[in-house]
Amino acid sequence: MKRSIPKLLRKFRKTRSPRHFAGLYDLCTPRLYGMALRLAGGRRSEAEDLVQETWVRAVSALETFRGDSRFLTWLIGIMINCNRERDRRSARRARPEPEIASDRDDALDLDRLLGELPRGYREILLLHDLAGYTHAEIGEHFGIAEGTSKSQLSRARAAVRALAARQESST
Amino acid sequence: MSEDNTKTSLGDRIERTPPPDLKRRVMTELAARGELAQYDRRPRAVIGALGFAAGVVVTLVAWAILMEAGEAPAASHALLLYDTETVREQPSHRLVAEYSRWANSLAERGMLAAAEELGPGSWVGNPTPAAMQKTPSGLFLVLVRSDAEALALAEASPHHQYGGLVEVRPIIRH
Repeated sequence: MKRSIPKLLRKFRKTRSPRHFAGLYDLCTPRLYGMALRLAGGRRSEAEDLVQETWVRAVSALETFRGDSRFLTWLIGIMINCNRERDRRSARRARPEPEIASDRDDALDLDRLLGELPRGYREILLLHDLAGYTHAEIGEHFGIAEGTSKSQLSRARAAVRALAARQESST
Repeated sequence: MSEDNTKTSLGDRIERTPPPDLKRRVMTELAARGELAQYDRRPRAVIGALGFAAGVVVTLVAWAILMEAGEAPAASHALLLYDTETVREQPSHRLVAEYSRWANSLAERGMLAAAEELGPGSWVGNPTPAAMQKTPSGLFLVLVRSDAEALALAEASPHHQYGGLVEVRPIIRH
């Protein structure tokens, strides 16, 4: 039987069973972890903590998920908030070099590029281009106008292109 | 580069395989917070119960640690727990919660090899009365890098916090 997120979510809400949670985890976490790695600038241990914190918060607040958005979208919203709080707590101390490992050099470059972006740009780019958020959803999440989200995204993409060009010219 | 191209090239790359032990960490944390009905996945190493008995009063502290079989690390130190009156006076539900949280945190960090209850002992030979008085009621086997780290763990243990005695001994391997 094919497992789907809505079906598992319904069952988990009803039973709180570890089996149903494990199913949800398996379906959602590869995307969450990918997002966390990028938010954490490639630092694996930080990304793992972020995924764990996201799940813990999501499960404890599950009753507040109304189903207006996709579950994954909701989870990623929680992750963004967790990351912001972590950033505030650590006040961006000097951070170690990214420890990300990949079997694809291009993926590594992309992660480095994203890691170099200012946080606001990185978040909007990740939310829109990777997580599939609409500008209306981004606007609602951050409390900004839809048009602001669009212009921020445009600037974020320009920043990526500029960074990529700089990276290419330096190699 | 057009916006659409940017979106496609990024969108294809979001998924990453999470480390295998992350799932256990997340589920252990959720179980410890009471968010899962019962984490009962087998096989696993069950880190059982720790008991405190004194006279006719028995306080039983039990917890289950969620570790996959074979994942327990090789221990570097043993923490031997000895009861005191202050420990025995604690309500059992409080001890259950405290020991569960502490043991879970060790397991999550890959530092816990075993935690066992020890029952009343039997002697061979001729122990002195003083020796017979000193019997541990529980045992933790932990993996740390130094004696200092083991002592720090013992100090942070709920047993010490509640006034119990903890003896730290390195494990010698030849």
